[in-house]
Amino acid sequence: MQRTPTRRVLDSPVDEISGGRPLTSSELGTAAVLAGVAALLVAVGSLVPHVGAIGMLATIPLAVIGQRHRARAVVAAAVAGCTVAFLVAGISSAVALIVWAVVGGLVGSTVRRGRGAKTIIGVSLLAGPVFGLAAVSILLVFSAARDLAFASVAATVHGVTVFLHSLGLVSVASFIDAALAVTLASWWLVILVGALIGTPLVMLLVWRILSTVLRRLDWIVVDDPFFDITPTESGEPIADPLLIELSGVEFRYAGAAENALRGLDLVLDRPEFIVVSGRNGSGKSTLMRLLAGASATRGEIRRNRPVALGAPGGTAIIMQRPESQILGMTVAEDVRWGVRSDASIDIEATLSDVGLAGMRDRPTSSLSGGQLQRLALAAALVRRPMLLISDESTAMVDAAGRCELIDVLRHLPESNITVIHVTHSDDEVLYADRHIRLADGRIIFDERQPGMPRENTRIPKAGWNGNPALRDPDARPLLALENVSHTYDAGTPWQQRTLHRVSVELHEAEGLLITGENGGGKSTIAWIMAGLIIPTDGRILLDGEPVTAVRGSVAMAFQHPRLQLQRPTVREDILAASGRRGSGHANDIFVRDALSAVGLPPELAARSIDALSGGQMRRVALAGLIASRPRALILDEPFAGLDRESRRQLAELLARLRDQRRLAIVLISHDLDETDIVCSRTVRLADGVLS
Amino acid sequence: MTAVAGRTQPKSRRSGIGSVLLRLLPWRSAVHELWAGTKLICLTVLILVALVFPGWPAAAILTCIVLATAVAARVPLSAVPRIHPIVTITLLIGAVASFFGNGLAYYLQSLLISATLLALGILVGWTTALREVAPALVSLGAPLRRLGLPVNEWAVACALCMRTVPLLFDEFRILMAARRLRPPFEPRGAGRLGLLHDRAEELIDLLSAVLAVSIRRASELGTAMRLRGGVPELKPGPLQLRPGDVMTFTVTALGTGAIVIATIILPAGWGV
Repeated sequence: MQRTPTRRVLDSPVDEISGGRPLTSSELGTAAVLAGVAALLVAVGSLVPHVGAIGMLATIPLAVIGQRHRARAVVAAAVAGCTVAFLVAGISSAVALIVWAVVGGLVGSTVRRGRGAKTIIGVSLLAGPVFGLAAVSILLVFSAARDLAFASVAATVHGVTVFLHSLGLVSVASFIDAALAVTLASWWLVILVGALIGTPLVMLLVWRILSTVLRRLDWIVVDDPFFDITPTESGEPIADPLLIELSGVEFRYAGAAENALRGLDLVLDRPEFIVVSGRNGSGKSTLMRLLAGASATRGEIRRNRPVALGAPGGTAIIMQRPESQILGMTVAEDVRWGVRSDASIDIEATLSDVGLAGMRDRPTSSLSGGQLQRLALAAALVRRPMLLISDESTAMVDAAGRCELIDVLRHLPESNITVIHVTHSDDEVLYADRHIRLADGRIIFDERQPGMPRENTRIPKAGWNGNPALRDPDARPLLALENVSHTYDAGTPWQQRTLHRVSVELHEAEGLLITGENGGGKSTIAWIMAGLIIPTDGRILLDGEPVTAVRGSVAMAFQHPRLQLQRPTVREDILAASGRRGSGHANDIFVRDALSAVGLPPELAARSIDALSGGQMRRVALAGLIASRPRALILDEPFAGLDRESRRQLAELLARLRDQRRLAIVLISHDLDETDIVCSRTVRLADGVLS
Repeated sequence: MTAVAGRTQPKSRRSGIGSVLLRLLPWRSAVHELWAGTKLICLTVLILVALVFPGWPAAAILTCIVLATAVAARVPLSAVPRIHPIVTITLLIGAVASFFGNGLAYYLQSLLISATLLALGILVGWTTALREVAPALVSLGAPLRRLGLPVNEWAVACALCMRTVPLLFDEFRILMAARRLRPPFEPRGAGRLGLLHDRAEELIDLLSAVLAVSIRRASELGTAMRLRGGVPELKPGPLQLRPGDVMTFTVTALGTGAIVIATIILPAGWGV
């Protein structure tokens, strides 16, 4: 395992701030997301006064921006964060956010330049007086508000000293009175001195925390396959079909020992549905990068139109992970994102082309994986691309979603769009107009095929029927929900009835699948089973006891495993999940057993959490949960973001745990593939009612 | 409630202030219909006036404006958040202390002004869809564009930030829930210092988890934008002020004027 150094660009200080180049997509993405984190921290700190210190943590996300990107990105983050903080928690939070942005930005940018504590102290000695003077001038401008605040504080403190007087603590009282009088009289001096001393202390503290956090975050390898492709203009639209010719193309990644593509010849000369298949590492993704505009190491790529990635009449790409391609908060907003406002587009028609008719105002967060992929497709189609690249877009979608997606894709050539679909799955090849197979960076098969009848796409459902565990039908249920109803925000305008008189029973070593549309109450029922939400009505019993009294006996694997893995390394996290910590032989064995229970090698124990792949994270989270010996295990969307092979492995693992440990397992999923290996029973939640 | 709730009921946070912020009231009203820019401008103006002329006139007029806005937005009493007992007790102690310190009037004045400003902000949040804010900022920032400031990337950052915030809310919730399900550590160090150390470590754990998720999401956002042709150019749309907007500006202007004039005319004791 080796660390991948983060790419860092150093600019001159002038270019840093005044800008020069506009922010790139990735700079802007980082600025926006981390500004959101900072704004929320500041808002929590200001609205919940007894945890006010949390607000100061807002410096850390802002410092991370400064550590990764130019100061210009920190400025954009400050503006965005300030706006959000202002809307969430008012003017004081907005001001606080700006202060923290300056502090965090300075610390982060010092770290990026590879400097240490000395530079931090130097910078803070310069920044201290500036902060002090700024604060004093603001208080001079708003002198009336200052006087009022001082008068109010003076009165309150004086009231306390009157009370102390009456207790006979005369000397203490008069000392406080005198100190207050001096402080208020020379307030500007107090602020200046405070800023001079406070700034270095705060900046050093921020630097310490930032270094600790960065040591963990350094393991994150972000995968941005298209970072080196420069955008091009689309040029005049033409009626001729797209023509791309690759001759003798080779490609080698920087630092790689071998070519990823070795001498590729390929002609795309008509709109058709091309399916590209091949194993991992056969060069499929590399070929897509070239078609999307990357330059070849050797050989020639000729086109009759510019690539124009994401531009009208150019090239559009849909990728693997459904939720990561969405930019808008509603369906219509997402389709419109980035399209020039003067361009006339028909959102409704595009949505109905991809089978999302009538959903324009739905929040994107309520869509399933398959629907999200079709939304990404709509956003691509609204640009009227000549070439559509679908890079394993079906890999993380369930069978039904796959059918619908393929059905849309294979009809696109009728609208003069060349579609290239990369896939692992052989059954999708059947629908291709042309099938290309890659192996070891070469094309080993390239043939047009008659294709299937155009009418309906059917993809056989994968999976086998496991043997449902044998159990005594008269045994008392392990987990029982009795007439559970839940309403969020009951009694407020946002009141939302989520569950209505739901009763479910679950026995030892039994698997139950809860399915249904997003927003139908699936997650709520999971949280209630784990004792995390107390329902507004009804009972949940674990072995006859209320589940909230034995919290922890029902383990829960959340959809996003990284949020559940909270310690720096795999070992520490697995121990923490059972309340253990420290070194020692007993703990070593504990961790090894936990890892082997989920089929992971013991070497993984020392690994940093952020160095794990998505599938590994899920397993490590499971290892921690299992090791704490729960009676029941709830998994919220455990298959999201996994490809088919990993799905099957996870399902088989769950089935084994169910049988060996007599665990009751509840799967919450809208994705039905592979679930029958684990679950013998399925219930469906729709509008909070079970069927 | 049932037997389940009786035993180890965690604190109900349902009506706490955190859960009512930035949540659009699920109906239309005159205030919902206003342009987001109108609401932002008027809010800013009123905040500035209250800071320059804080006094009974400001407190009284701001209270009227808050009430009028609440009525126009058809805010029911059930929407008002429950205030945390610690906050209430602190405020009461402050009031008692300032009474004995002969300054209850100052105390109440500053409290009332801060409370009305907070309430106005919350009202704007309750009646403004987040997606309307970024376009409004593009229009409001148009003059800054002439100064060469990168208003466009700021507006795009705002739009993306607002899309992310609801997701972050959920993530914070999951993070805390996952934490609650874990058994507590036995405290490591002895005494307060050990406890402090544990707490700090815990905070860094949580922060790292949030940041790790956020950095991945940020990179995905960056890629998603690139695939759609890079950072979009947001153009200010045509400004169409409706009668409601004109009326809101008028009320704000009248209120501002009244605060200024009353503060100047009234005898010193009534102002500040």
